[in-house]
Amino acid sequence: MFSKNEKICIRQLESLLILDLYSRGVLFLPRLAVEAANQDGWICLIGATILAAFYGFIITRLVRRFPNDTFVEFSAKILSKPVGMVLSLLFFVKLIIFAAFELRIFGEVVKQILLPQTPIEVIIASMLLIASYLVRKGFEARARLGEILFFIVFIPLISVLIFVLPDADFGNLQPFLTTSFTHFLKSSYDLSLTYIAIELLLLVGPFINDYRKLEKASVISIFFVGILNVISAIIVLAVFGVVQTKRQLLPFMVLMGIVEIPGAFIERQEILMIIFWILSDFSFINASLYFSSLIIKRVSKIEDQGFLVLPLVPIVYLISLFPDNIVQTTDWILVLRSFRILFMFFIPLVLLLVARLRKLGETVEK
Amino acid sequence: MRLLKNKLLIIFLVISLFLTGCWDNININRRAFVISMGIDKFVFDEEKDDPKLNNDLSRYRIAFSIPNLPKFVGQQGVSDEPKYTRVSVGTTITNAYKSLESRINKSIYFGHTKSLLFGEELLKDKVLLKQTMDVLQRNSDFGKSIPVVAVEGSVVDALEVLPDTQPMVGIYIMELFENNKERRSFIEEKELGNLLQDFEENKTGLIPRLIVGEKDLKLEGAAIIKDYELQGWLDEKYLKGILWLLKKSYRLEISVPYHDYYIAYDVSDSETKIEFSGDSQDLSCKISIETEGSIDEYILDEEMFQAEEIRNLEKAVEKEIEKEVLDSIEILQKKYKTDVIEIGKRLERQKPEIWKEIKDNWDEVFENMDFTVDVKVYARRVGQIK
Repeated sequence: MFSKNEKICIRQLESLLILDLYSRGVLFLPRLAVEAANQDGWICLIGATILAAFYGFIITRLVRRFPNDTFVEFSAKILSKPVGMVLSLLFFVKLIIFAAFELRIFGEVVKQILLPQTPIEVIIASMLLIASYLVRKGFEARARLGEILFFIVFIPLISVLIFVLPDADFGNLQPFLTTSFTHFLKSSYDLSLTYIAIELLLLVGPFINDYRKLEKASVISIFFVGILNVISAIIVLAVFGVVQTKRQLLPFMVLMGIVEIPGAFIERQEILMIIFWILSDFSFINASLYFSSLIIKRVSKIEDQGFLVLPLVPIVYLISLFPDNIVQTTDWILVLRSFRILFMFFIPLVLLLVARLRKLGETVEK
Repeated sequence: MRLLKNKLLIIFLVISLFLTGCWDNININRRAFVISMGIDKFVFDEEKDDPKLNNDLSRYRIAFSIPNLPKFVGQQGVSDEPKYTRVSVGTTITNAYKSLESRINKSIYFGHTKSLLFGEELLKDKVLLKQTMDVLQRNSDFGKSIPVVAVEGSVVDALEVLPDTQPMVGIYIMELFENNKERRSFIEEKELGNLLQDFEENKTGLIPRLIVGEKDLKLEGAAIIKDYELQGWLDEKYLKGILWLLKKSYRLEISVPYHDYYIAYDVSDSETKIEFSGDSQDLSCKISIETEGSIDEYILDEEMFQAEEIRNLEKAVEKEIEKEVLDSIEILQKKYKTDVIEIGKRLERQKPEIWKEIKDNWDEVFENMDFTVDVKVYARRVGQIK
């Protein structure tokens, strides 16, 4: 029905990008920031956001040169066909693996907090099937869902942050600025890797109706998420203090647990609030699935993308069940972390430079 | 064709009704809501305990207080008791409540736990206390805002009391905490989250002491914990002095000797500042307290309504507060040797360089530190008569 209608507007792109960027960081980021630089962790997050905006700038510059191509085509145009093919396949593998691990963490958290008796296989499979259903409906359906989810996700989230303020002791942020500058740079770089979803911009070119505003969209999304992340980190730190924040596996989840909504008669309201995280996570998994099937489609030049997602489902499912436990999952994510910078920064940068030298694509200035 | 499609649709919709539900579905009647849990170390009691329990595997004695729900909501229940108290002995806390599940016809649920009681023996045992604090964090059922109290004596006795205004001890304790928030009692309230933070950051902590009465319970004084071990019980008298420093709760009233009688000063607002001076060798601490309030009790036949007299009263109150604070600090320094007033934490925040030098022998520095107290009292109101 709508699957041919594949152009989306900038606002829709922003809401999708914000959801994808946010879901990656929200649960762990306050802990990672505090582990990196104790009570100055939130300052490193500001640095990380600026770095991420810079990566976003490089990527959007590159994409604007080739408004009708995705990564698959322009990498082939710039660096010859075989190299482009290899890069595209690498990108595909990376997307699949990250989607699988994200899915596993989703399963573990839901089993821990919501459904202790339900087998994790069922939790993962149901999420995966729903996500792949949406993938079959095309980019435009995703974009419209993104617009709806945006409000469902961020209104409860911001209300958590407000209601928790009476429990916050901002004295926990002192002493201020005790980290050395080199340490600050290194932590900022490490933390900037959680903004991994900006690399998805490499693939959205042909779907945007006004590609000239792409840069603005990436900057707005990254700073929106960045500010939210900094605020969340400050509040988590103010509520729990340094030692407790480091100790909690998922500090943000615990934060939701201590919210006392004035005058409310319900208890255990964190269960309701987990919904916002589930939805943003759904958006990320579905984006990874969509773009990995898109790469396959573009590489093999098949017209219809819908059925391509089906063979991916069992692959993602099996990879997600591969780690033994949540500790191993997070360990592997950490190991893979160093590879993230490839598609976030280095490969786009190389492509952009070569494209400039070879004078390929449209020039940005006009 | 169309008809067939509709029929198929209806069949699918009906089937979906039977497919709903999940593994975690449990009837509410089958849940045992643990309203309060009392955790204590197992100490063998020859008269009461089963001799089989006298072995190394019995480490915890845990009391669970479960409401008789039908009775509670005003229905005819199977028994008249408002609550059941079950005691279980186990090697770990999980072991204790799992083995309770084979004795009780319901499944144990901690999601609505309203208070935690720590027994004296538990507080004396470092390993058990650390394990307890771990499980209370690891298990996501326990909220971070559950009130925690320390019981001098047996936690089982505490949970079996039937206070006549509210039979559930757990809810009773929670409501005592709420009173404190509304400034009606003199305790330093501790919720699970704050306690964990105190333990892990400062290695010290205060837990309110629960006194068990015939028909009621009282929160008075506190247990002083240092490095996961009980140092002693702090009297209410000294706790009052400490409360001026902890800022979190105000004192309600202070009785001050004046001539040959006592006057009552009611505190409506107070602010405490703590400043440090000197270097790492010779550190001293200055505490400035500023408070506002009203004189609530005086004596007949005397005239209070003059600026000079008010000043005299304020001075008397100032002297009393200063004495109270200094006494409490002294007993912390000399008797308990524990910094529960977070002086170290404040030093770290104000002067991180000095803290770095002395943090390794902080206990020693704290015991010998000089404290000066500067109190400023304003009596704003005097009541209805002159």
